[in-house]
Amino acid sequence: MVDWSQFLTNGGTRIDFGRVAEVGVGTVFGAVFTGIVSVLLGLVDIPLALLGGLTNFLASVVGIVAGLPAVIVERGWTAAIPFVLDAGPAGYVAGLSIALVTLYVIAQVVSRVRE
Amino acid sequence: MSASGAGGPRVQDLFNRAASADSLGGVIFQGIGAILLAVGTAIASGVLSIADVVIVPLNALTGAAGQLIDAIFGGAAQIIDFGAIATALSIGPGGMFNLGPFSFALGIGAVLLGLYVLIAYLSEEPTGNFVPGIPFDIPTPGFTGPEEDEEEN
Repeated sequence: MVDWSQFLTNGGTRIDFGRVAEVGVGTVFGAVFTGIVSVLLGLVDIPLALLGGLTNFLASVVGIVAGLPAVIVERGWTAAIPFVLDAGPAGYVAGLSIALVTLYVIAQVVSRVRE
Repeated sequence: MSASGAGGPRVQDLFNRAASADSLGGVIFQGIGAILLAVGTAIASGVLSIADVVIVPLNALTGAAGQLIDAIFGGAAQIIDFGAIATALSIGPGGMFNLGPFSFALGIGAVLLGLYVLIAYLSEEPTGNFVPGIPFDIPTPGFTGPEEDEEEN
């Protein structure tokens, strides 16, 4: 809190106009500096917001493009489940065979790409 | 930050700061310090934002790669699990292939058949052909298998 006695002098019977003026001018200077800082940060926010938008856009594009294979693979597995469930006693062998064939294809493609 | 009228909280705060300062020089010194701090904050925010342009998409790529790995191997495990459940249900009580006293033998047979498929897969000779067992290779333009490389040498 403000110590109001700083604006009084002569035992509290006179007003210290020098100090009042000093605080008044200080308040104005404070407002000026606050305005400068606000304008500076506001101006900087413009390119930062653009960069933030670009970042979110890139993240969305990468997430969609790179996430599509996972969705396709999941749909493929899901489509194979009814076949396995209908296979009766051969369901275990059918599920194992589907998994092994898929892993074989993945291994072949990966080995060819690495060559 | 919204604008406030004369005597509002923002002006009150500025007045309090000016009154708490020892002199006018102190207020100016604090103001210049605030500007320098704002410049530093702006530069730091800019650097972090530029770094985010690379880091955030890379994080998305990492998450997608993790989802793909999970979809491939998690899906394989899931379908094997469903197959085992289907086998168990079909030979169990009330199942379509419940053979009574021979259900146990059928279950063992199903497990051994699965084991046989697994061992047959693991014991398969390495081949450069895309599909093993056929006398020719399925061409994959742009990517050659190991046998094609050996023939070139």
